[in-house]
Amino acid sequence: MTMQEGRMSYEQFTFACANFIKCPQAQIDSWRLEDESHEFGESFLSLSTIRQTSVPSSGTDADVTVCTVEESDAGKTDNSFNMKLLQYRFDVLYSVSHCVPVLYFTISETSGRLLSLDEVWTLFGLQAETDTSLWNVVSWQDHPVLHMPFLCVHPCSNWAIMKECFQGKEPTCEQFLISWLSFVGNQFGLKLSPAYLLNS
Amino acid sequence: MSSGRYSFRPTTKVKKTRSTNYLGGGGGGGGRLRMADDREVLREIWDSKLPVSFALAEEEVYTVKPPEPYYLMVPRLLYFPLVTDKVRRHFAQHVNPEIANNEMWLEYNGQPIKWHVYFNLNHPIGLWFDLFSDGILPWSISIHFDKFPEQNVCRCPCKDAIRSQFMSVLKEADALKHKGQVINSMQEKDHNQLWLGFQNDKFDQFWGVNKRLMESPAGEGFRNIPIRCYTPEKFAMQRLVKPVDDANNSWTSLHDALIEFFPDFDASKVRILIHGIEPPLNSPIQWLSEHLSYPDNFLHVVILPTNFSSVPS
Repeated sequence: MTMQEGRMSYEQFTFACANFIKCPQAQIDSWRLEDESHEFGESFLSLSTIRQTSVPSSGTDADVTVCTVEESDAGKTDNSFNMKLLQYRFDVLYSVSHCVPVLYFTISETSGRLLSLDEVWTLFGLQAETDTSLWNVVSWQDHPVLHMPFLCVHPCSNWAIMKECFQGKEPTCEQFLISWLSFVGNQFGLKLSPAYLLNS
Repeated sequence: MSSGRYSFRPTTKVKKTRSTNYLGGGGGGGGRLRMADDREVLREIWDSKLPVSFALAEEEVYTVKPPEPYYLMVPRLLYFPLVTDKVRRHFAQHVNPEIANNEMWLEYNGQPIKWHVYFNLNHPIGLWFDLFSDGILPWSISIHFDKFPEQNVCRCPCKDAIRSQFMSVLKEADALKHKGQVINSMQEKDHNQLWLGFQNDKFDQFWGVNKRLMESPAGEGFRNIPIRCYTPEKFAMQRLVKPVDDANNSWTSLHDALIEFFPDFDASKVRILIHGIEPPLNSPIQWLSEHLSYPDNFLHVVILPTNFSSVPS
């Protein structure tokens, strides 16, 4: 099992996280490394951020960007959108079964109410009524360390995409992690600045 | 087969600690089950049920006459949302109509039951019972319609959500066993057959496909064993466990698999439960994986200290 085949070991994952967190951009964006537990599989990266987000009225698609660098498009004046202050939390854990990182996230209102899965799908322009395969992409799971409900992006086919990404060249652990996070996080509003890749 | 590896069908016996009618039931010791009757083991586990008494939480009773408890024999292998439709219909008429359409949640002894919990896996009914119930039967569970504890319990809006969860755990299991090659080579109709067989209690329909997930090269076993351990303090743990101990040229035993989770494991201080049964610790983990896995293809192993009780004294 090698990273150019699209999979990484837990040791490689923790090594990548340790390097990732030292990168100046990660510090600016306030990523945290949670590694108090020394149990196998329980180290993870975490990012919490609050952003003004344009939330669609019913029937329209959102254009949401929760960026660690760029500001979201707070200037939208379209009547079909409301600006709401939303809390985003992204946690990057390791999937022991699939040998790749796995993204858990929540989006909540400032009152603390978690957005439902339907609301999240709407926010990202996906429609569950018409596309039942969405259930195979993201669903509620218990966060493996915090034991609270999080939305989890299913990792089962990530290895194929990662393999494609590296095309026979063995990346560093950090490059693997950053490439993975760019790909997976991007679908759910997390855009990484190019500064991450420059550093690795 | 190279020398030193013992036969794949151990002659040690699995002692059923509970009654013969259902695994995990209280009362006197049960019969003995020979591991050699492999298909019978599969069937017996598939058919195992628990008597459950559902009662509406007192504070939510809205009608003058409170509802009777609702009794149900519940399959150990299923998930609560798959069996509680009737329960819901029975109690919905007794709560405030404003909350009668809310998502139901269950509580035992002050702990909300997570139908699908920890480590992105389903929490089969039998697993929850073995872990938290003290073996008291019927199992008394409170029903709630109000104040869904969304910080603690994942919502389960529909059957598609449960199916998605089930399939995702199956994929994890196959990723460990076969690098995902078997499940990914199946067609959608095979996945459907697994799900429908599981949901509708159709043993032959389910195993017609599942047997392919249980295949492995003779003498070698799976690449890794899909296994998770649960203790009352540490809800779910997963480690990489190989079915073969190369150093000794033998099949990895249950005892040795547990050492991966608990390096200081002391068998004299704990009870090891799978489906309410305590398998011998020298059972090959490969055999256990093929025969005592839940339908999600994982061995969910409960470890209880011998003096453990979840009921406050």
